[in-house]
Amino acid sequence: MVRFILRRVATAILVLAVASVAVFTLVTLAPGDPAQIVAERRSFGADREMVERVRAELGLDRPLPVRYLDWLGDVVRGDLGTSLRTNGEIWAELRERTPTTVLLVVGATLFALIAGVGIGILGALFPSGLGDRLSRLTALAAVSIPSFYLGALLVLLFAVTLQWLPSEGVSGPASWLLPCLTLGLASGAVLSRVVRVGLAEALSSRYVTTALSRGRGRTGIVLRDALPNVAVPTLTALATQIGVIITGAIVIEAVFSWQGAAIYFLEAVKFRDFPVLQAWLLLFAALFVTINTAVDIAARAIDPRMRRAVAEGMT
Amino acid sequence: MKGVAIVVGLFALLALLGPELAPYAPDDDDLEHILEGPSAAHLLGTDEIGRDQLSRMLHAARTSLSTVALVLAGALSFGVLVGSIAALRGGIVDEVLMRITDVALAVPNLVIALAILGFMGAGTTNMVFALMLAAWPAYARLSRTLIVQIKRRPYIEAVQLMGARRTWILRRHLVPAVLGPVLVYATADAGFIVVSVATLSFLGLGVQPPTPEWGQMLVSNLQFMETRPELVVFPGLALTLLVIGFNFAGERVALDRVPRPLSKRALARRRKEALA
Repeated sequence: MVRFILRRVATAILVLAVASVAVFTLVTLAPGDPAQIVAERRSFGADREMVERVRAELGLDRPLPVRYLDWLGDVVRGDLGTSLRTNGEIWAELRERTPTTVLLVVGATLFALIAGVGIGILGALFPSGLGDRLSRLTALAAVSIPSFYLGALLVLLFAVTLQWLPSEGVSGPASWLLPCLTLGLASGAVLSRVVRVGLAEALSSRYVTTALSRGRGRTGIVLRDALPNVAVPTLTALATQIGVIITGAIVIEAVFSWQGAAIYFLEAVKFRDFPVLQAWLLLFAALFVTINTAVDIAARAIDPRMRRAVAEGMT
Repeated sequence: MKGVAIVVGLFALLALLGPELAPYAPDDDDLEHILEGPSAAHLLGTDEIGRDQLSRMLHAARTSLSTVALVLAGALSFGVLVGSIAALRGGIVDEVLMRITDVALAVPNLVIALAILGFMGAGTTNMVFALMLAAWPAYARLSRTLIVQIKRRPYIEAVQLMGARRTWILRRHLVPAVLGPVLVYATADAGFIVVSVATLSFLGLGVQPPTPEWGQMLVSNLQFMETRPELVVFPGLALTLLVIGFNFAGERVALDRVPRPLSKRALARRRKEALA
């Protein structure tokens, strides 16, 4: 197990190193001369001399590998650079906005997990019941509806027509409800299918027939015998869905006017704020690699079969 | 399942004929009739500068379907090209290409597209390019796996022994065999790309006004939602229906390729035929 963890962590670091090179190269490949852009922003119609001065000031006249190592050194020390748009420290600006996004992502993930697993279990307890059939249809609709449209419809219903909930901004638990629901719905639908299909498969196995023949109740069998079998596929699906949710946060923060880290990225995309883009993509890569590594390790810890496979050298 | 074919077919028809069917030009403003509700003259009402909503939505159908077709065509051909090179060359080339697709597949498509748009700037052309770059790795991976499986089959060895050239085998045997599964995947992918196009346009990075596009219409009408909710509801509805149509179609095509157990009725019929 320890060797497995060490190997996974080493791979993760390697992937991150490749990602950092990719992110850095993307910026140098971008059309337009950054020195020119910055100089133009400082004073309209900047002449050649000013552009060259900015280039030296930003260190853009040095060779590429030197600039890469310099940038990486700064990043490792926690200095992500300065935003071209706001002239503020990226690290400080991100730190200020991150709690909002974390709230949104955690809320949506919890909603997806609870609703998804709950509906999946109910479907297995009462197969082909009205709820089971309805949830299957709802799942397809939930995956198909674009999140910004779902958000707009929910605002129309709960904020404009019924006036139960605020339509935008962050102001207490009532305002968290719609954004988290909108963001988590599609993922909840996917998870409910994973749980439902996994349970159906487990329920058709022979040990379940044995348990039934011994007179045990269906509820007990579903919860105690079948459910543990679904843990690993659910966890793997959840890891993918967390990625989907983090990406979706960009759209949801735009719909509900939340000033989070995701919208900070979107603004950087719109204004072609290269230092922020670089920082954001690198953080995003780090986040993804961490989640994937953690899930791989957790799956192995949960499922004894995988551990045994390692012990027998079957990987 | 006929219903699904009808939905997608209807949208294709709308995209082809929509602009001709539209009662007004998409940018035909009328400042004396702004933000009006549905009427005989404007079946779905008008927006803040009096443009006919129905006409704009019909034009948007063509925008959506043509961008999706472009993205799919680009991603598919580039992906299959990379996949075939990896499968046929093997060795280090295969290794490098597949590690690149690994990384690209691990990052959500929307993030890849946003990153590329951040470096290139917003606009329809850049969006199509960005979405192609985000979508191709799945096709590369799929076609590589298929070709590696097929190229060991006896009939390929047979034509090799007959002295066929590699490009000929690729063109006559490998690409046709790969195309089926790849097209199935593309059908399922289409719904996802429709949403991506609308989302990027909603965020202000894709199709730019005044060109009508559903996501972009929705975002610019959002501010009038309290008085004219239909300006938001209908573009979104059109979009959602198209996505559901593609998703159903994708699921259907995928299922049709997998041999299914016979239904009870079919079994009974076979039994009867066998006995007769």
